[in-house]
Order: sequence, then C-alpha cells, then structure tokens
Amino acid sequence: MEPFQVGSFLTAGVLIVTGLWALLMMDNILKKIIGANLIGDGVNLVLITIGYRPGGFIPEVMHHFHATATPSSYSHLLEFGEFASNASYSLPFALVLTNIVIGASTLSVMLALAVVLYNKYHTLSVHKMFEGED
Amino acid sequence: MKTSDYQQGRNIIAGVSLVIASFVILRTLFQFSDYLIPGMSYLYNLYSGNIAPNVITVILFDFRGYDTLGETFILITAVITTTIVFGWGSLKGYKKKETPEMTEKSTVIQRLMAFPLAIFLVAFGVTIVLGGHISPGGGFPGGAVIATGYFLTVVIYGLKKTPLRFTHRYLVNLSTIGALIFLLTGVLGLVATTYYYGTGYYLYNTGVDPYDIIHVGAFGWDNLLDYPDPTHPGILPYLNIGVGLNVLAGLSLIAMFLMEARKDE
Repeated sequence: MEPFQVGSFLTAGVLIVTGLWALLMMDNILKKIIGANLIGDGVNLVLITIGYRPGGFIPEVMHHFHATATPSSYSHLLEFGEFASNASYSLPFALVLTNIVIGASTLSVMLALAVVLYNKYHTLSVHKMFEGED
Repeated sequence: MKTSDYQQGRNIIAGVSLVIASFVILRTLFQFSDYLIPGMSYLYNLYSGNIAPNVITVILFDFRGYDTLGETFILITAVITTTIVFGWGSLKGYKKKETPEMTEKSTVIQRLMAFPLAIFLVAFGVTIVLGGHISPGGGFPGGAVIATGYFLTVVIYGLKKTPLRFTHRYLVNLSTIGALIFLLTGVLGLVATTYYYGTGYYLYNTGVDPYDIIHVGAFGWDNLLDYPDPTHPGILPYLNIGVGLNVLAGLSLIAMFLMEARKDE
C-alpha cells in the first residue's frame, strides 16, 4: 500500500493556504488571528500524516507485547522488534504534542494584543486603525 | 475584505503573490513522498518499550527532554507576556467587579450541569496526567483538560461566583512550581550520574537507568525515584506531574486574563 496520503496532505495544504489568505487579505484582526491558527493546524496535520503507517497501530506497547521492563537487562530487546516494525512512526506525534501547547501560547499572546488594540482604537478593523496615518 | 481605492493595487499584488505561494506550498506538500523515511522513529519504537509502555511519553520526556523543558518555559513566557500586556497591576489590585451580563446569560441547564461536568473534567484530567506513562495522554493533554473544566465554570458562573476559585498569585505559583519540578528532577539525574560515572547528564532517567550507568538498586537508596509501578517508568511520572501543573495553571491564567479583559470596556 502506498504510505503517502495524498488527501491528507492536500487538506493540510488547503488549511495553510486558507490561513495565509485570511492573514493577508482579511480586514478584521480576529480573522487574522484565526488564520494564523489555521496555519498551525495545517502544519500539525502534515506532521501527523508523516507519522501514518498503513496497517499500523498506535505507538504504545500493549499487553500482547512483552512490556516487562526490567532495568539493565537487554536480553528481551529483540521482542520489541515486531512492535517497532508495525507501530506507526512516533516522533511526529511528540512534535505535534509540543506544537499544540505552543500554538495555544501564541494564540493567547495574539488575543491579548488584539484586546489592547481594541481598547486603544475602539475598532477591530485594521483598515480603520491606520486610517489617520500617512 | 474591504478594498478602498488606493489599496486596490496593493491587494492585487498580494493576491498574485498568494497564488504563487499557495502553488509552491501545495507542490511541496505533494512532493513529501520522497522524504517519508522511518528515521529515528524505528529506533525509538524499538527501545522505548524498555522504559515505559507509552512510546510518545518516553520520547517527550526521556529522549527529547530538553525540548519539553524549553517548551514549558515557552508557556511561562506566554503567561508573562499576557500579564505584561494587561498590566502587572492586575496581579496586585485584583478588583473583581462582576459584570451582570456574564451570569445572566447562562440558562438553568447550563448552571445545573456545568459544575458536575467540571468536576468530571478535573478528575478525568488528573487520571490522564497520572497515567501518562501507561495510557495515551500525559501532562500536556491532562493539564489542558483540567484547564478546560476551570474555564467552563468561569464562563458559566462568572469569575466571582465560580466554585473553582483561584487567585492570580496562586496560579502563577502553581505554574512556576510545575516548571521547578521539571528542573529539579533533571538536577537529580545530573547529581546521580556525576556520582557514579564522573560525567553528569542532565535529565538522566535515574529511576530506570536505561544505559546502565548508575547501577540502580546497588545500595538500596539510589533508586529513590523509581515510581512504584510494575512498568518502572523512572522519572517520567514526576515530569508528567510537573508539566501537568504547568499547563493547567498557565492555560487557566491566560483564560482568566482574557475573561477579565472584558470588564475594561
């Protein structure tokens, strides 16, 4: 089976392009923030799709594998070979897990700045905010 | 989208460049098939079962512990930035005027169901945090679930009448304590590996000793950090608890600041 997921990658591309469009062309500053968040979601989707393996299972040692982890004894290491060759790629999931919290952090900072801008200009439109300048 | 007369040329240029950029992005994503290689994931999957059943937790806190350490500080930086933007005075003054529309908007069903649902969410989040090394989950999702429960009660009942009432200072202390648990657990690994091996490794997994450096259990007291669990995950549950406290307090504090910002208008 082809491991490359065309539909998922194209969905991620559409998400990124939609976010870029909202970030560049929208007038409302909240819509710009939503667009910036959409770009992050698209990147997360790319990472998750990279970790996909057809027919694989989640990267977690279940009961049908030997989960008896005795310290400093490597004799049973080969028993995880079957697990490692069947489970999906686990590194992108860890990256996504960190990326979600970073996305929440940047979202909070962007929303705080939007609140400050609204308190100063009493509008959310970027066009009206910079109307008086030049 | 609003276009005035003098901005039309700029918008056309932005649109054309956006089309080019989207073509490049879609083509790049379509050509990702050349780069789909297992890489380090195979080795991680092969070895992680010796440490804890959940491979992602092992990657997150053992193999790539420095990344997670930096990421907790990214969250603290975001909290500090939000606090600076809204003013440090909101930490000290702490005046809670209740806006009437905040509580009168919620219906009877919301007021009846929000508190049991929040209790359920907090308990579920604690389960996710404490079982992060066995079952799917960990500190980040568990902390986010607990913060969701808190935010639910804040939205329904308002900041003053909420049953889960936290102050700013309490949440800041909780977030900092979570990051300090992470830091000091890493220092313990540094001390243990320096004592046994001569070279210190920060954030070494002293409870498990996966690289057979410090000979866990040789003296009886040196496997103090071994979590009492049949899977022997080492220091991973403690790091999970620290990250869970950090994420719970950080997201709750951000949500509280954004809720309080409504009062200024």
